[in-house]
Amino acid sequence: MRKILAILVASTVLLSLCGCGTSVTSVNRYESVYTDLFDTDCTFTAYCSSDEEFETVSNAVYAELSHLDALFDIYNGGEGSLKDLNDNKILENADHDILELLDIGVLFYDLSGGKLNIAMGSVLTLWHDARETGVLPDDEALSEAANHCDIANLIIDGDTVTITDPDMSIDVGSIAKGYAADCAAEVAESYGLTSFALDLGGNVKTVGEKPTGKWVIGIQDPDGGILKTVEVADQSVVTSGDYERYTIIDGETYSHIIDPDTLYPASLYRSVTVICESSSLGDALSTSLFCMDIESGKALAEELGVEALWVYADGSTESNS
Amino acid sequence: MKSRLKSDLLLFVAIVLAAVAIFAIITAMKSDGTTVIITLNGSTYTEADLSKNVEIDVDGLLTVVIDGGEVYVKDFTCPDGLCERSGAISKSGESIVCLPCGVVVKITADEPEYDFIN
Repeated sequence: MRKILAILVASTVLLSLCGCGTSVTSVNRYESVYTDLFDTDCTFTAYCSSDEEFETVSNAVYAELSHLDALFDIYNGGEGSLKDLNDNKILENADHDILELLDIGVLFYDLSGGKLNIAMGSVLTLWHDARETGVLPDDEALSEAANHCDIANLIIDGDTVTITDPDMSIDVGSIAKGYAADCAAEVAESYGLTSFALDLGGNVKTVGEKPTGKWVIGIQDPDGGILKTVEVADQSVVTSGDYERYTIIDGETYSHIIDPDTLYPASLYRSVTVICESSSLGDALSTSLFCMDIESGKALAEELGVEALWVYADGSTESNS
Repeated sequence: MKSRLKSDLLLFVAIVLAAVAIFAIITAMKSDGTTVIITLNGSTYTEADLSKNVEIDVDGLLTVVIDGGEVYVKDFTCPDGLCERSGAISKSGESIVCLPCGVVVKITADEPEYDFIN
């Protein structure tokens, strides 16, 4: 009798020791990488119980991201897209995703004191062309374009959007990925997934924990390696960095985040990382902070109750936590 | 009666030791497989072992080099060459991306050191 008891106890120990092994095998880690969306690489990582389950959700996530990418695309978007709005200066029966994204843009224009401006499409187009052609934008052209960036000329009335300055255009590149990550996460959740993450080019949104614990995200040292590691669950970690997207013209590096006041790439920091629940908020805030001086940036992060990390050119950091 | 108890105890200890040994072996096997996954336009092109030095031509678009536990890209055909400038990667979770070519080179492990790198 006692022998049976001993074996029972030992078996329990054996089972509990292997327990984490069995729980890991019941759900597997899956990953999809999409390279044709938002002009960046997008990764969907999830813990699922079968290949079929992951494939179904991954297809739905891709469909949602692809839908949003087409809506927000100002270069190749179709009818009802922001290209449509920019071309015709009016969009009637606008998609609710466009309305919500524009609202975020307008809100953050105010919060950032104008440092995040979705109405500066005319200026950003010149820099976009510069990245394509390898020739710096003409200073005169930049100043002329800057005369057509007044966000007050963007009128949102119900589901009709109007641009009242014929030379003004919208560019939501600074906030679209964060918004899209939130939407895609909702889709994945509607399929019952409870442990997954989306990484849209430096814009990470996590839902739940991994079976082994929190998600581990490394913040790059701009000069190589990892500067800081953050562990999160149900949080977004969004980084705006000059190493994300840039071009080299005549040996000089030009990053993609343009300061509305200088009309040149912002150069106060190498990167700014924001940790908060909403990826939309994180994306808009990290871009805002990238162009704001440290005092007003810290004040804004405090006001929104968000943790932020600033990385300077010399590798030193500052945070508000 | 006493020797009975002793043999029970021995059996118990033996089973626990066996359990620990099995667990250790499983853990050791798991932490091993660090893999380099190369995807082309969203689907897996090939996989390679990070510990084996090799040069992989990806569809004539670029060459992925695995050398001494490091991975880098050379001989790219795209115009911007950002993939080559991103340098060498070595940690699980790190990746090199060439959007014009649609190529992503990523180091993965069963339990990667980093899930994402910003």
